[in-house]
Amino acid sequence: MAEPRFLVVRNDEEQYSIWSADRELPAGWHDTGFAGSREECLAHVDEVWTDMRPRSVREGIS
Amino acid sequence: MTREWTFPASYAQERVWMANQLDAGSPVFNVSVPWAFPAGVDAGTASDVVNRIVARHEALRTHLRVDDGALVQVVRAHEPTPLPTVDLSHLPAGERLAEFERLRGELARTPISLDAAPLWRARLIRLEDAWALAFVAHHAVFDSHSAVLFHAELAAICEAARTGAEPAVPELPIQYADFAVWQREQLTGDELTRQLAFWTGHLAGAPAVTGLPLDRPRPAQLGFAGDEVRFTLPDGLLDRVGALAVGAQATPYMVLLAGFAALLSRISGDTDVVVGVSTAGRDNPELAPLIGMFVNPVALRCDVSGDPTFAELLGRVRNGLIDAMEHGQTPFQKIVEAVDPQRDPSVQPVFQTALNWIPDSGLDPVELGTTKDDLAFDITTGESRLVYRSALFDRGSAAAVVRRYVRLLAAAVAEPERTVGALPLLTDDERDLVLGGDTARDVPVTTVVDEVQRQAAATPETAALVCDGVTLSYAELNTAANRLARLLVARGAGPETRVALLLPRSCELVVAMLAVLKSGAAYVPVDPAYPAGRIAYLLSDATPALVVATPDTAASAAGDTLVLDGEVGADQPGDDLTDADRSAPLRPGHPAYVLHTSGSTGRPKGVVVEHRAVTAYLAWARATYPGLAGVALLHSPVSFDLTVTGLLGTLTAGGTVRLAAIDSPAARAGGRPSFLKVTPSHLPLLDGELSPTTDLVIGGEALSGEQLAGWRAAHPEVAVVNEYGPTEATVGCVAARIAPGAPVAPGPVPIGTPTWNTGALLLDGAFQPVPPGVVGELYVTGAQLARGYHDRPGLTAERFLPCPYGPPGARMYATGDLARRRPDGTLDYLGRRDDQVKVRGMRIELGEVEAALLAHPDVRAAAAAVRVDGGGEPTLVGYLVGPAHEDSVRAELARELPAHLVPAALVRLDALPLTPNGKLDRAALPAPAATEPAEDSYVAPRTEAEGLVAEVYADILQVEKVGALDDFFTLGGNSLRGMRAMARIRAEVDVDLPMRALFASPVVADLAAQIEQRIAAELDGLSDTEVAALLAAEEGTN
Repeated sequence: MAEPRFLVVRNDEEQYSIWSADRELPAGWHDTGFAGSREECLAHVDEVWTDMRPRSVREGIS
Repeated sequence: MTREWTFPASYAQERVWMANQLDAGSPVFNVSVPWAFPAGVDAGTASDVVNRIVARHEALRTHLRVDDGALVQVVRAHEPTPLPTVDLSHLPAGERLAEFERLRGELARTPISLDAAPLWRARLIRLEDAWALAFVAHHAVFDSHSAVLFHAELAAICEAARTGAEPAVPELPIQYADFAVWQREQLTGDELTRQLAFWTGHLAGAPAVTGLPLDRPRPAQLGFAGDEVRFTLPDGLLDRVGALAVGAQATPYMVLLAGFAALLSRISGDTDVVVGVSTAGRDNPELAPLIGMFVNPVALRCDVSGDPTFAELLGRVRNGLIDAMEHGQTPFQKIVEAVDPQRDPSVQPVFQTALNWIPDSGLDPVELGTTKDDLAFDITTGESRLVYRSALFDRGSAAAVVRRYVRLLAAAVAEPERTVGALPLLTDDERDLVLGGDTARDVPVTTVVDEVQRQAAATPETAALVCDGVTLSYAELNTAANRLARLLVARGAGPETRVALLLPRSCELVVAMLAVLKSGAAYVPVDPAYPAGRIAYLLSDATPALVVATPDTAASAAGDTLVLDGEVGADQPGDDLTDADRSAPLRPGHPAYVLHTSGSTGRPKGVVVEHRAVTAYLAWARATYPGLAGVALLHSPVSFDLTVTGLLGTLTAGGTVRLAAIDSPAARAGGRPSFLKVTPSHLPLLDGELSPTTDLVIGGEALSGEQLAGWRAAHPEVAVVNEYGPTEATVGCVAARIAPGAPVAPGPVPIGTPTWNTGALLLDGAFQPVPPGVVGELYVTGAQLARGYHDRPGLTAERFLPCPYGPPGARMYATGDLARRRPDGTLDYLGRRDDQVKVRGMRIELGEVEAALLAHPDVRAAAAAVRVDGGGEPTLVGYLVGPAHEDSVRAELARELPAHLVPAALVRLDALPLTPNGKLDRAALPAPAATEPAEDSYVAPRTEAEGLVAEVYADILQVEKVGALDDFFTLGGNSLRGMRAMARIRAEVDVDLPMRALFASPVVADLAAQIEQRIAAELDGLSDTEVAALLAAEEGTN
């Protein structure tokens, strides 16, 4: 059986997460275009999510 | 005297006989057949008709007997006997029917003893103008196809009686006993070995017991008590089942089974499902017209792994059933002996669930209140039913199983290409319930700083903090914190930075926490009592802008350090800081603290919790815990988020924080606190002086009613709240309040319902909500979620997932905890997902073992653990604190718990080891001393009864030397040999010793004790003269 594939996803607060590629992505989350195994996706998040402040905090809104 | 002939019993008779021995007083094996004679048939004719059938079928003249330790069937010559009659025709119509039902029910529920012919009972009951037959036969001589044959012969013989012709009934070339003899000759040697090899291979590694969620723990002994839920499948569903079957080269039964396997997998979480199916056992044409017991159950093992589509699952079930049926003649008891020789009397061997498709025979008209299986469906074209074991399931749960089966089956046959994991189980209403209800509450989004300053302005003179004999008022505490905060800002603290607090429990610690919050930074508590290596790790992991230390702890600090020497900040203004005083404006979205938690794997990680999450929790806590406005005893390290309630909750409610170690005199100075939060492990420490007057909050670990019982009995006037919450969802996110005076039931205490603006989702592996009663992983959503893990984006992404059931873009935190929703919507906590342990294939619920240990009056505290010491098999170990003797505890556990939950070893401790946070320190539980009896630990039988039992074991099992502590099954016994052993013992001592005594007490000494007890009980029942007579007779024989 093939290893399950995941997507790196992001919401409007620019928080990252991962989601199974065969499952419908919940509303408000967007595919960042990176897909791979679970470990590959988490390693990718480690690289790209450099500022963990939610966007609204960063912009001084909350 | 009536002539009789003796033949070996068939395997099916032997199996029913053995099962019957477990409770001979149960009507579980009664099979009822209703029949109405046509009008005009009188009682004499009706009696003759039944007698004709009895004359034709030897099975109806057969009973069973143990001869020389072997079970035989005894066939008697036919002697026509008129059936008893009851005339109800004089009763009014309504009463008549009720009386008929009563008579029929009474007959159906009266046990039929296997050792006297005939093994059936009948009554002729006259209704308005015709006779009805109530007929009940023991399953040892009658199966469901027999009922079909019986009907056909009644009809044919009645018709013949009317016309005077010969009845149209088939010739019977052989009789049931001939079949039994043939079967015994057939299934021997290589043939039997070959068949058993298939089954041992087929069932290798299969789960010993289903993971179905139970309403109650398994009792130590299975009984036959059961109940049933009757239902009718929706119109057209069986047609669609049939249509799918045709297209898939399968039978309707296979479709029904695939639906059942899918349901079991979804509600148990098992991907390896074993279901009982019955083979008719009438493959030879000569057997087809015979009344008798031919049915043989076999196990269908279904692989539901890899989230197959329903069509794929149907294919697997089809192949599995064909294989099973090809080997369906292997006697089930032989399969049990081959695959599951170590019987656990709390679990039915091999399978616990079954599904029968009986389109022809229909249901038994009488509900017997019995069951053989934990859950068993009987599906017919008319009324169907689910029979369930009432010791394990409530009626509501059984009804829910039926609803879910019907819903899942309907969806599966409509869309067989859907995956099993995506098939719907819930109705819309149930879905709303499991998605957690509405917790919305209008709470202002603020910072902890605003909340504390609001309180300081409102009650400046009230005592805010008592510590080391010093009392600080709100005004004093607030001013001190303001002064230090200004200094922290000057040293670089501000929003989105961290300040580590390397401080012991002291006034300074509380002042410094508030000061860090006021500066806009997040505080990171680092307990100076930690080992140097851990302190260094935490300080480097948190990347603080500044470390605050005392002169004593400064040596452990690294980087920029501020040492508190009593004078620090004294020259700073004492008024509240404004955003203008900070490096950047402080917002509710900025972090308030970073607390390190140790996961099951890896190094501690810092959980970043924002002000808005803390104030959301505190608003709920202040409303829930009135005691926070009084005196809160704060005893745990502040690095543990349990303390947030007593510290920040109190300081935002106008109460007084008493800071003291729980075992110090200072904890008691000033009278009982009004609020106290502890872990369950602290409960034994709470005496009268420490116990709170208003709120006792328990968190951090699973809580059982048994742990709480002692304290609760002494303090019924206090509210107890069981609070659940990972640090990642801020202190407490699900809670259950036990109001003053409300009772506490034994077993797990529920964790309740979510706090305000919080959701608690229970999802399965496919993120589908699980039905009430079903175990799922707990996911938390809403206002109290942490931002994530400090500097660990990957780990944060892994644990904080997109939420399919919330507003767009919402996250849910995967707690890794298992929970179950009760029908009233409250949650039960069931432990860590990673901690699910199995011993010999049986899932172990440590909480159940711990609760049973605590139920012993002389056990004060207890723990249970599964250990793998010395690389061997995992074993269950119980730990106890208190004066109880191990033997008495073990005996009590054996009475209360299923065998697999009785610890293999018990260890007595002076106290349970606790972590600094007050939780049970599982890693510090010691290994049990090697208590396994050594090979040569032979204990010679010590009493006459032990001597007898040992001799019988040795003889039947062909073992040279049997000691008092030897176990029948460990020595190689099985149920068949057990039957022989019990027959021998019964013959020797003439006591009524049921078969179940051996299953319950297979050790020589235990069984001997049972025998002695029974003899004593029988003597008790005799009068003095009878005893004297017996003794005299005994004398005479010696």
